[in-house]
Amino acid sequence: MSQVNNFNIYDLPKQYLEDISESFHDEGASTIFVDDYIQEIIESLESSELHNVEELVFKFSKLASFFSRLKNETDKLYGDLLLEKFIDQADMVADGVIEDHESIPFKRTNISELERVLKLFEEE
Amino acid sequence: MSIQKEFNKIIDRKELTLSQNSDNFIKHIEKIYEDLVSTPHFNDEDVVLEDSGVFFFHKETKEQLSWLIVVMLKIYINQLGHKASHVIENKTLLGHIQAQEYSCLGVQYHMLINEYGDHKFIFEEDVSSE
Repeated sequence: MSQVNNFNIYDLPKQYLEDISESFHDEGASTIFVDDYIQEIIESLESSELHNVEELVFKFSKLASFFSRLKNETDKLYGDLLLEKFIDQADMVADGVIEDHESIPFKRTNISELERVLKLFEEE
Repeated sequence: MSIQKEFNKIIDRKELTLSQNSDNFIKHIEKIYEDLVSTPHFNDEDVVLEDSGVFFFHKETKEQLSWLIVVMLKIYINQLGHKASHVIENKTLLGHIQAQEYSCLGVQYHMLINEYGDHKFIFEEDVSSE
């Protein structure tokens, strides 16, 4: 079903993903350029029939949409989890459960000013 | 780096100026903003706004372009000192622009934005009078 021009479109990002996975936690790793992988695929498509390329554009559009939305929603989930962790850490520092140190980004502070402003909005 | 700091700085003004040319410019920009935010985009697809030639595919790109317009209008008001809120009708854009105008005029305010983009302002002078 997703076999176009003798290749499976789901296999296309495989080499790219493998190569970038190796550099995931390595800041010193050399930059991998996605365009190099794309160029290779495009060159393999140049002799394709028009209707096949049209079908690929349609499928790539749907895949791009799927992965874009998935990336953004995963990013939101990651942000929510990170925020929850930082707030828990700040609470634990304030309650004396753990020691404060540089890797703890949030500090629990007096929230009376925030409460005062929120009350004004509620009264408005 | 120093140039960026200057651009980020709020330029204090005693008043904002009115100009027909500025009003026309702002209305034109608001039209593009309206076209962007009112385009339904449940599934990503190629969209071309014919009046402006603005093109996008992803929903996120549409939202980023909308925000870019807000940022550019805020810079416009800050750098040129023109009033814009009197000609803007879109309530979300209006809220962002009013906030920028208040900042330029040195008005101390608190702002809440709900999920529909409605802005609500409370001013510090109201706070101190209570």
